[in-house]
Amino acid sequence: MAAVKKIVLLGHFGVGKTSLVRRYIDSAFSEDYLVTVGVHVKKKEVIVNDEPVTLIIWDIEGNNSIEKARSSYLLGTQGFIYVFDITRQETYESIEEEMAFLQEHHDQVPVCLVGNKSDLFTDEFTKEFFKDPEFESCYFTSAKTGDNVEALFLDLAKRTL
Amino acid sequence: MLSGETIYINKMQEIIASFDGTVSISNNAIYPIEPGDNIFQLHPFFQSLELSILNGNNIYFTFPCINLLLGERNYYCDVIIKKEKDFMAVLLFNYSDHYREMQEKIQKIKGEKFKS
Ligand SMILES: Nc1nc2c(ncn2[C@@H]2O[C@H](COP(=O)(O)OP(=O)(O)OP(=O)(O)O)[C@@H](O)[C@H]2O)c(=O)[nH]1
Ligand SMILES: [Mg+2]
Repeated sequence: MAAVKKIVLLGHFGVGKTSLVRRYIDSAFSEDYLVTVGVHVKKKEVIVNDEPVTLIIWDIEGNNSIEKARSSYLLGTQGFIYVFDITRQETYESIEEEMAFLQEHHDQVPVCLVGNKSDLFTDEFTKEFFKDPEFESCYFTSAKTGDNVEALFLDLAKRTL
Repeated sequence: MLSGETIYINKMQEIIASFDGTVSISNNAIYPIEPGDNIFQLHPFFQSLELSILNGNNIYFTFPCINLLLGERNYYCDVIIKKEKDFMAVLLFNYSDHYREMQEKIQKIKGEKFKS
């Protein structure tokens, strides 16, 4: 029987949590912004190290801080994806506090930090902009083009085992 | 006060299941479930709770505003789960109208902020 892993996406509103899930599960993208209220739960079967794993992905409503998220949504989480929008500073300026919060309350749970909308990098505005230590193992993804999305979920799935 | 009928009875589904998820009773106010069906297979939301419900120390769980696609229809439900000695009760409250209105309001606020 496949192992079942609960993954929760966190981050401010509008950073692309729903879009990342949609890209990963339905291979689709929309420019329209449809605000999430509460939570939408989706699932996907993957193969990790030759074993089947069922990822159950909780796409929750955006919050300025994890502390404001409803605590029952985070119960029993086995992997977090913390998403920010590379083009909006307010979505990444408190990354350190947010990571510290997860460290304190969910210290055994792997976390992937994700800078989404990487299709909006330009010749002048590049990944180099995020060179501070807190971004060290950050993934840069684009739900729009699909860049790095599959790799993100697969790496996290591996880390949950 | 209306006479004869309560207001929430048609919005609330009570499901009784064993810890392996097998349903014994359901009043089917929202979605038809047969005795013998497995609650954990009803929707991935329930599937992801299986581990925390069975193994955790908590006996009472409340989950507000869960989007559930049941059959062809999308619902927004508040979900309460109460672990009893040898079974669990799952209560679904169909608050779809309320949450859809809320979604429209929040859409306006966050949509505006997002554009600016
Ligand atoms: N250019 C670009 N736009 C994106 C990308 N991902 C999401 N968007 C856009 O950003 C907006 C918000 O995306 P959502 O996926 O709804 O954001 P969210 O984090 O789920 O927002 P909440 O549900 O309110 O928390 C939408 O207009 C998307 O089209 C991306 O990778 N590139
Ligand atoms: Mg969303």
